[in-house]
Amino acid sequence: MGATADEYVLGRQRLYMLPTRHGLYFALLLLVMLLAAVNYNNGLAYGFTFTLAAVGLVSMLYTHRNVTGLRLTVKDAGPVFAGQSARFPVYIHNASKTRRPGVWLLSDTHSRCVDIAPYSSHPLSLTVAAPRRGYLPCPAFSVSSAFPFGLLYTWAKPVRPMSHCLVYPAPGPRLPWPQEPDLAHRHHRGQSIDGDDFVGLRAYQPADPPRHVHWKATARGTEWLTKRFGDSAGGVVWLDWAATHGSQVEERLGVLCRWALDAERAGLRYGLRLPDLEIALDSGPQHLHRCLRSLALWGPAGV
Amino acid sequence: MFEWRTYRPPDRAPDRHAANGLLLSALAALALHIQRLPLWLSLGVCGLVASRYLVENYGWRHPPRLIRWCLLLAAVIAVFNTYGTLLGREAGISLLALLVGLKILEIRSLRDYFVSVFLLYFLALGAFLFSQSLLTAGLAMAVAVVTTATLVRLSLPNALPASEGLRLTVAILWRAVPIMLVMYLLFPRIQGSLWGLPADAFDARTGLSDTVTPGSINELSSSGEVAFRVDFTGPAPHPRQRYWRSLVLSHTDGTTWSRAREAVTVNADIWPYRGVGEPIDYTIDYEATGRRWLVAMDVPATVPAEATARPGFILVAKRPVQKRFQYAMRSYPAHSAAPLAPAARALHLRTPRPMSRRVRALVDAWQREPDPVRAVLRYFHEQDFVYTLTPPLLRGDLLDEFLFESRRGYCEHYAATFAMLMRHLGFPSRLVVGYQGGEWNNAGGYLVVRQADAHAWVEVWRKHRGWTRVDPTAAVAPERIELGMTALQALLARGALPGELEPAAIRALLEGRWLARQWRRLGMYWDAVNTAWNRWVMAYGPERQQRLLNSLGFDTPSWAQVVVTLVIGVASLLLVLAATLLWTRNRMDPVAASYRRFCAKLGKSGLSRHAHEGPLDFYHRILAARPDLAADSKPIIALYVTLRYGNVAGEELVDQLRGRVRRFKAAGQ
Repeated sequence: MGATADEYVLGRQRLYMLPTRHGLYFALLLLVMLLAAVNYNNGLAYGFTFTLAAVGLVSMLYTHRNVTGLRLTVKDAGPVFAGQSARFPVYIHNASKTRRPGVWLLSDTHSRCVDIAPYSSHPLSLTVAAPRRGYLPCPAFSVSSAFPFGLLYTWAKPVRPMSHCLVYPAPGPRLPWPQEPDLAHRHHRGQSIDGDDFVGLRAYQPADPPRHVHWKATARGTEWLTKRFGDSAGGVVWLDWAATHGSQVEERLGVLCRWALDAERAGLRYGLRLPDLEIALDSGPQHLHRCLRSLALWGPAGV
Repeated sequence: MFEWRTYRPPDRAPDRHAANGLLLSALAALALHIQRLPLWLSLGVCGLVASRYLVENYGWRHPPRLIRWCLLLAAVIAVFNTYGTLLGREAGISLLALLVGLKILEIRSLRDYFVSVFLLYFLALGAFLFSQSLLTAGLAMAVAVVTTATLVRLSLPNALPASEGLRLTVAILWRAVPIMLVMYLLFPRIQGSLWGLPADAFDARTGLSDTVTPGSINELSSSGEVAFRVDFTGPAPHPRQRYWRSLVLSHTDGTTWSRAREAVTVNADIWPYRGVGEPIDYTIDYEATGRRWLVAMDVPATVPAEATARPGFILVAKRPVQKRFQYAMRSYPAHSAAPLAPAARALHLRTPRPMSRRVRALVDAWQREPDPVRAVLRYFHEQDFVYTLTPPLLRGDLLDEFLFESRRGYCEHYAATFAMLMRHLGFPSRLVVGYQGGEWNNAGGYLVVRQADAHAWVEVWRKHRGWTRVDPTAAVAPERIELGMTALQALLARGALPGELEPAAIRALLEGRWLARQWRRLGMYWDAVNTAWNRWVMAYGPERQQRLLNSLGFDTPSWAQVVVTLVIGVASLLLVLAATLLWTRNRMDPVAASYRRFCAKLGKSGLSRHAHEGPLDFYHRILAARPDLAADSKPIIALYVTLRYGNVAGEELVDQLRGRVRRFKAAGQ
């Protein structure tokens, strides 16, 4: 067996085989042919029937050989937001000198047929819908093949990898910052000028130019919002649970998620305050991931 | 936590290439039967296949269901019209061929493809009901291979090229041969059939007729079909001695000769026959005739298990010969004479018609000769009797008309006339029907006797010698006896007149052109191969199986024992095959082996890879701990990662990795 938990070698212990529906019909056909041979006492008819039967039996070995010895490696899927699809990378290694055509990767929702050349590995991905935040386990999947004649098929005992996918909450609608980014904390950057970067939203004020109105949000029936542009890099903002409104946990997490993304994009330094957790001010992809991860795993839904 | 759940690859609609492969298989299966199918049917099936080709490759519309149903109905009616039935061999095959065509036309799903393939297998099997020759076997096997290769393409859409499917099928077929042989040899064979066979289960074959009516037909069948083949244990007898008797006709109404209906005991020619002289041992490989009489040389001394001996030194099979079979025989050239019983004497002297005046004058003249038998033969030889295969029809007093008017005929005319004259002269006599001559096959060392070699001659009862063969045809056309019927026909076809040719001229006529000689030789080899096939493959039946089982150590094998042996045999062959097929699986993957070797080399220098360390992490550690090895390690790690995780194939890369690892040196610090 492979060294790590998510490496599987398809050996005899894992493989099962059954005739397909067509295989059963084939067996029936052989029986009828045999009856004809017996009835006509026809030597060549016997020979022909037995040749087909023997070919069927030998094809069993070919079916088995087509998947045996394949090595599966499953890796963690990269994080996704709820509502997106997680893609678990699966490698099928063929370490033999025999080509493996018609190898199927099958899960409840997924089927894919590959042809693996000798001494090579085939990268595949198992795509699963990630509807909710939290850890999404890699679904059980199996490898199957009906090579060469489609009369028999073999499949492996389903693999249940430990691999998982971290699912961030789905980003909520754009809302104004909980508080104005504190531009006083800017360290490195120079003067503040209106720039092209989108920095956030604030409540509409009559003087705001119409092209800055966030019409999409307006169309959804929320209060009027104004998009703010400018080079606010280096500002500081605290993304606070308490500043989010509404009673729905997921909704509030979504808002925090959107804020974190916007803050990262705007180049702000941001911190996250959840009821039982606080992440200090910082920025950068690692920090973003830390924040989103906390949001993904926060509370009972993130177990 | 075991959970029983199967993961079956989903069905996929086959691609155009798979469909074309199926169409090709259908045409091949049709070709197997083309000679017995009516022309309209072959053309019809070809048309159906062609329309499918257009649908598949040129985007033609699928014919609507109504049209397909109408076609089916029309096909059934047409077949019924042609054969008068839908059952039976010929009609069944015709219907099956049409069904294949119609099924192919309506193919939509994968299931339809499989049904078509199965129908094709059945169509190929059907060929054996008509012919069991080596050629048929080869062709049917070719159809099976092409059809099975189609199966590969069906289950692997766009994965494999056509040649690969064929190669795979042949490889599997080749490995299946031993298993097939075990099944073929050990599957319990039974005598007879499970249920009634359709009336036309066996061919209506040409063969000897059990009556002779000279002048009733004016053309003799010149069928080249083989009647039987003979293997002589010792040297083959001279062509003049190659008389194969089948039937003895003692009864005549003046026109037609037939088997005597009376149970007449003719001493000496009822079993056991007492042969005298030098015995000849031989084995007859008898083709199916659908009739019961067999052939033997003059006085058979043995009776095959399948037959009984009848008066007249003849052998009759216990049931009609529907399959080719072999029997070993010993014959004597003559029998020890005993007096002829009065009843038999009366039967063999019976002359239902009075002689005409002209005939009586002749007979009276012969009576005064010292040896009337010889005198009659001389008469045939000296008068202008002509041997011809297309004699005029005779009416009225056959004897008179033949002797004085037509004087043209073949063996039946001469034999019947001669036997009748013998009876008028007071010699008991009878007609013998069988074969004379045959063609020696040099390639196989056996004699081939064809239906065209059919012959009739006379047996005359002589005091002290008993039944004695006299062949009046030999007096008219000695070439018929010396050279055989095939040669005689060739001579007649060239306009030669039998009985009047010089040997040199005959030889010149018969030699023929070089190409013709080579063609004949090739024919002999082909016949020899087919005979070996029939003798060693097709003759395998219940008796041979019994012998085989006995030699395997079963004295009185039961059905169950044989089946268990069969299963064990097949299972062990499968195991052996599995071991050889899957053996390579036990060897290590060369990529992993190289990498392991590389790690071992590093490990010796004190830098061993941790169990869960990936190649890249390991490389970073090498970089840190042994910067001197980094340059050599980097390509190895890169190759390993590429081969392991990139979608690349190639033995060159594997070789490259192997070479680099071999050259890699990690001296200890």
